[in-house]
Amino acid sequence: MSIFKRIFKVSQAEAHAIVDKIEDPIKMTEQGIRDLKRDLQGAMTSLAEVKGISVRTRREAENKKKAAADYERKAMLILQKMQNGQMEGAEAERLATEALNLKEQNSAEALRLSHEAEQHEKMSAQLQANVNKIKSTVVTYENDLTTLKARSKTAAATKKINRQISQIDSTGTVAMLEKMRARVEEDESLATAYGEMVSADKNIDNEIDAALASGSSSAPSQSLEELKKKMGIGA
Amino acid sequence: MGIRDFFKKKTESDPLVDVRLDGMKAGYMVDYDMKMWEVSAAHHYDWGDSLITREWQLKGSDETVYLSMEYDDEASWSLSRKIQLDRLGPNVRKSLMETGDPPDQIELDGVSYGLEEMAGGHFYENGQEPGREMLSWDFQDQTGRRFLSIEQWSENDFEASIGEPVEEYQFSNILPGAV
Repeated sequence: MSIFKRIFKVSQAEAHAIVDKIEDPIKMTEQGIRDLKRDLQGAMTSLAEVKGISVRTRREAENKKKAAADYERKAMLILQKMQNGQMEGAEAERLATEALNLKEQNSAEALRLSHEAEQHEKMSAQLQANVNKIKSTVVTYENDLTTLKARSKTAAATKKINRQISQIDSTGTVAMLEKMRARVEEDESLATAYGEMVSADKNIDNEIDAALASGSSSAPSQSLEELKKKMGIGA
Repeated sequence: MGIRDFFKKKTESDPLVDVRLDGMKAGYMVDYDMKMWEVSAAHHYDWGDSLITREWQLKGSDETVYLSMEYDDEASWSLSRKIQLDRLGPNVRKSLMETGDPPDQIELDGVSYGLEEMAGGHFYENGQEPGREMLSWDFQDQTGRRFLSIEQWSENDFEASIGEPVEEYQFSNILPGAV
């Protein structure tokens, strides 16, 4: 392999790799479904045309059949008139023959159109089956895409959460948590110790106050009485 | 076409969503009662007070029927066929000519139909203005499964039809015609 060919191959491989990276599978699938729907629309329109031709051909065949029956009825009426003497024999037979010829023409045409309509009906049945197949394929693809989109979103969210969890520095954080727990416990112990000290001090004070209370409780009232006497306020 | 039109996002029709019974236009095809029908026209009647009846003329290989839809909370569908007014008996035409109204009870093929309502409205052929004024008398049998309708289009122009309610699911393989 020449050097140029190898360089070209390398460039080609790199280009493919780049395109692979920027290619969004969801968007590509959506575009694929849109294309399929466009094809479906075309197929449905074509089928409508074939069905339309089929219905119209069948209608024409029915009309020809009716016309044939009508010409036969007319031929019979002419012959009846001839029988009743209302029409001259030769003229009546000529007209009846003409009517029967037209009846035959219409019958033949009705038969031809019926065969044609049958062909169209067969074709439209085939096309209808194809259209139904495309329809169900598109519906399946759409449902698959919806499910895959949801799964993709869930997977992305899960991936994000898991990455965040895995990215946490476990030793540092655990150590930090332990340190914090120790500090909290230390603070709590300290708080309890202070609390005990305060309550101990309060007990001693209480005891002293209680001991003094019995002696000092009358003193203020005695001095009060003396002041009242001095001021001339009676009891 | 301006520069804005060029950049305007084109709304593509979705054949799975847009092709619906109530969205049929002339040229559409639909299957009903094991037969193929071609939508040959799409008309509507305006009865006032926003009450609209949409009507599709469906041509089959051997007959023409009329599919109608009225929307009152939910869509109700019916299918009718035109009949000769004379099939309703001589009294109906006589009553229409003499009093301007049909009798309250009409017998047809052994079925008795009672007058349900009378309404005046405008008929829009293929949805085109101007609307044509018309009167309609609607009759129903005792079961409510069959109805009869008389329409007046001018002083002496009357049409009659018989019909029955149908369900949307009875119509299948709706296909859009070429635009």
